[in-house]
Amino acid sequence: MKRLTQLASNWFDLPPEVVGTLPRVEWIGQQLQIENFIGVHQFNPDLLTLKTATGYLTVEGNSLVMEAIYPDRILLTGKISAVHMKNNE
Amino acid sequence: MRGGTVTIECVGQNISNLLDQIVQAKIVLKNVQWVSKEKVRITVFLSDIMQVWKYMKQYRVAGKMVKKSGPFFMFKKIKKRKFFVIGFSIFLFLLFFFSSFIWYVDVEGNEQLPDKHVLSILQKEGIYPGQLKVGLPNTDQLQRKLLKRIPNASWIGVRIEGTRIIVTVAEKKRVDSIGEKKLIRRPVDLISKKNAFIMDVRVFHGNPVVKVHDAVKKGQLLVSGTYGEATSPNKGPIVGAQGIVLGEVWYESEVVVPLKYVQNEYTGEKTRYTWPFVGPFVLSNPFSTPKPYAKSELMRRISALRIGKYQIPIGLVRDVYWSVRQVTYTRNHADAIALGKKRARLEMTNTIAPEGRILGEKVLHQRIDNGKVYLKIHFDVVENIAQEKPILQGD
Repeated sequence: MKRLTQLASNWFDLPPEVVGTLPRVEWIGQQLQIENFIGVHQFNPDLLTLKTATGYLTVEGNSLVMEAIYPDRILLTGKISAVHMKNNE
Repeated sequence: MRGGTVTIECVGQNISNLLDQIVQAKIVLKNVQWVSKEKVRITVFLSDIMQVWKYMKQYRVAGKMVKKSGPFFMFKKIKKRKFFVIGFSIFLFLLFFFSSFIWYVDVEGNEQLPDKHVLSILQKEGIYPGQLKVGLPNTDQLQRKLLKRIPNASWIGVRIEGTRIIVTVAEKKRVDSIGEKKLIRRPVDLISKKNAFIMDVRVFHGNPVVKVHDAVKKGQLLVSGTYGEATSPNKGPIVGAQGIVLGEVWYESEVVVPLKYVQNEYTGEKTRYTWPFVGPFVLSNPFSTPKPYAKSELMRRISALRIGKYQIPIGLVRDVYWSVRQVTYTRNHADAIALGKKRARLEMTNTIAPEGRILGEKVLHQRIDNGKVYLKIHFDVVENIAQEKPILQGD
């Protein structure tokens, strides 16, 4: 299934976030929206680590609040200072 | 009634794992927030609470409900205050129930027609206190029906104001009250106003002395006001004469129509001035010339301040000067004669009104002199020649 969607994306030249399972991060001011995550690895007031298809996505900041968690996306607010990625090998 | 959200405070070691588990189970969480170290506040939909509760036990996280909101919990609260809710709904019901009836029927605007008469007719049409407002007929139809039932009314208006029906009646003016005035009898004879040829005699009271086709002279007795034999007056009782005697009379009228005449025409130009006024004084600018044209006509509109129904002698005067030019026109001969005839006819009809009428007309003479048309027209008319003359009762 995964391979099939990848194939479709290559064939039809679609943007990968539309079809894929790749994480997509949208950062607007103090709000961060993360789509296509797999699970929550760690959650603290100053740290949120999410498991994604490509690796661990870490968000650092102060007084982080997850406004909403839907099955496919997270809305995060707070004083965000850094977003970094630890890729899978 | 099943919707709602619950806010739970979780305390424990494995909170991150719990959150991961909840996310994996595709449960929607809201406002995930750290209250303090190792204490997280989460908001869950009511339908997911059992599942979340299960996971919390599994990860040994202690939970405490902090806030409940939504219709489910509202409903629970209402159940506790049952009597208050019942009372309030009864109150609302009664309010609607009693305002859906008609409680008053008012009749206004009637002078001669008694209220009871109108009310009884309304009752027949189904409008009386205690009637449901829903079953009422359409007001337009009702007005028409009532108007048929009350012939003395010239207009009837029906309007509903809340629980009150107001019926406005406009009564007809009674005809006989106007006619009565004419029937005042005075002790008079009717005599002839001028020399004439009798065409018609209409006598309401009295004893006619002349017949149709008689020729009468000015001052001749037409209708005697004395009862009995007309030839031997001063005998019967005096009843007073009243009537119309139509006689044929000749008139000669002269008309002058100028061939040239001057008319004022608006040119369309105008100038506006607006001045304030206090009492009788207009506060205008004394240095400005208020007459902008050689010839103009002034139209003045005054708008005064008003408080309620009281007028305050302070306001604005709006002057508009309309520019006027004088134009001289010339009529041709035929038009002038036609106009002269028309004017003469109009004048004639005014003098012999209301009973009289014109039988015939003839232009006797016409001449043009000094740019004017002189006409002499003969009219053959029928008019009322009767004139009242008091009967002098001998001492």
